[in-house]
Amino acid sequence: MVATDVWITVRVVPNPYVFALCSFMVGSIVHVLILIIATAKMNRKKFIGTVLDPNFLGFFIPKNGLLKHLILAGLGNAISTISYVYVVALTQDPSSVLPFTNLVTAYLIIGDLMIEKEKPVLIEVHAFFMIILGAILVSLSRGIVNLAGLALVLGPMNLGTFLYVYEQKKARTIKIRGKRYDSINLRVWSLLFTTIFIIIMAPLIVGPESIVLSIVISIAHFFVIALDMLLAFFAYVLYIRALGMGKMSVVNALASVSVVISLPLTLILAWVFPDVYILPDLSGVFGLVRIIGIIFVFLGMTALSFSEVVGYILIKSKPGSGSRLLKKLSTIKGVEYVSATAGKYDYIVRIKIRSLGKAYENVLQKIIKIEEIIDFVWISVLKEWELV
Amino acid sequence: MDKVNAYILINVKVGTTAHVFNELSKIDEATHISLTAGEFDIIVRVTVNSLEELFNLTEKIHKIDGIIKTVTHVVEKELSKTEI
Repeated sequence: MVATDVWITVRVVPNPYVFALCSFMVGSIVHVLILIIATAKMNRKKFIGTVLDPNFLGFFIPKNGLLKHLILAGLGNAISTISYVYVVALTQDPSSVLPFTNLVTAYLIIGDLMIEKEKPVLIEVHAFFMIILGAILVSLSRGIVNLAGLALVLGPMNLGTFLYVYEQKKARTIKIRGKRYDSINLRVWSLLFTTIFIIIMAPLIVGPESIVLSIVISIAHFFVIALDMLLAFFAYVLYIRALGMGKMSVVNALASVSVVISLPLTLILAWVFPDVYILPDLSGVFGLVRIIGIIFVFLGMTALSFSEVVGYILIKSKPGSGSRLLKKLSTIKGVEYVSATAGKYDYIVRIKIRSLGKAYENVLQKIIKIEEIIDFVWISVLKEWELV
Repeated sequence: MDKVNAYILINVKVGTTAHVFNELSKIDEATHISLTAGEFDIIVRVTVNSLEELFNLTEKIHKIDGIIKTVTHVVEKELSKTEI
């Protein structure tokens, strides 16, 4: 996707503001068309969209809390995009400051703390910073850091991205007809709101003529920009599905891995299209720094993948404990959901917590103190498959 | 009509866990499949339209080669952190 972005900015739309406007205007059309196709029925029961996201419920107009999250996600994305194009226009060498966008993971750790009201464990902090530092090292350039550009990246750009990811995560966790809000509707609606905000913001910075120019360029180069936005659609749908699975900071840190994967791709593209793509600098000390960056990213990822504990607690309770026990169990940190069941056990509790130590401290120590519980069994999850 | 959620707790023959896990992942109604260590070997969470459908589904699961025993728990009420 980044490769097609570079192609378009070099060959088709050199002005970054106009590029942003064109992308979102064409992108809105492409995304609405995708939503219409996804809503078509594959058979009597299923929409075509369920191939991409099994939770897809067809065309769905957001309301109330969901609408609020999507509008705020759109606003965050618009702030981040406008800041990005401002950095590109302001600095002679944006590649010297753009690697610092990877620091948004640090902002997301704070976001996760706000959601889960819990401190990250040490191994997570180590892993996050290894990944962030690695991603920065891989994407570093020889350019001189422009302080105004850096301030823009660390301020509105990263905060905009934070708002975008945070609100998407909140929207993704909303349940509609028993299923999580699907990633296709989420992506389409958040992009539509982003487009509205960008159409409002961009002319304030570069003048109203940018709208007319964007429409002219969008029509002239519709298919190239549409292809770029089609790729963006698939990339973001997968990203949003991942957001439904885990913590924002973890998903974002893992997404930083793309800088490592983009390195060999850029090498191939620079060899095939030397006039569009710049050959990454891998010589001498600079090459060594990039290799160290790659090692950091992989070490961080490995550490992160071993940090989480998932388990079930099967509980037998005293007669008449009812919803009182259900509520008590649901307030325990690390509890994902509590199900009152009919069967051998009265309650099945699903746990997702950051370490075994925290599972003992935050969950088991609380469970043993609940008087309504007669007996319980802890079952550790070794491997999991989840419909997300 | 409200959907019916249920947990199916499964014990399998030694050496068949991976096969059973793969077969279960092909079931459309399964939303979570956890390979576990403890009293049960696999825990499956399913969402179906009715108890009749749940019965048919458990029948289907029983036919998977390697399964020794299943215990089904129907969810009567649930509190989830993700529900808003």
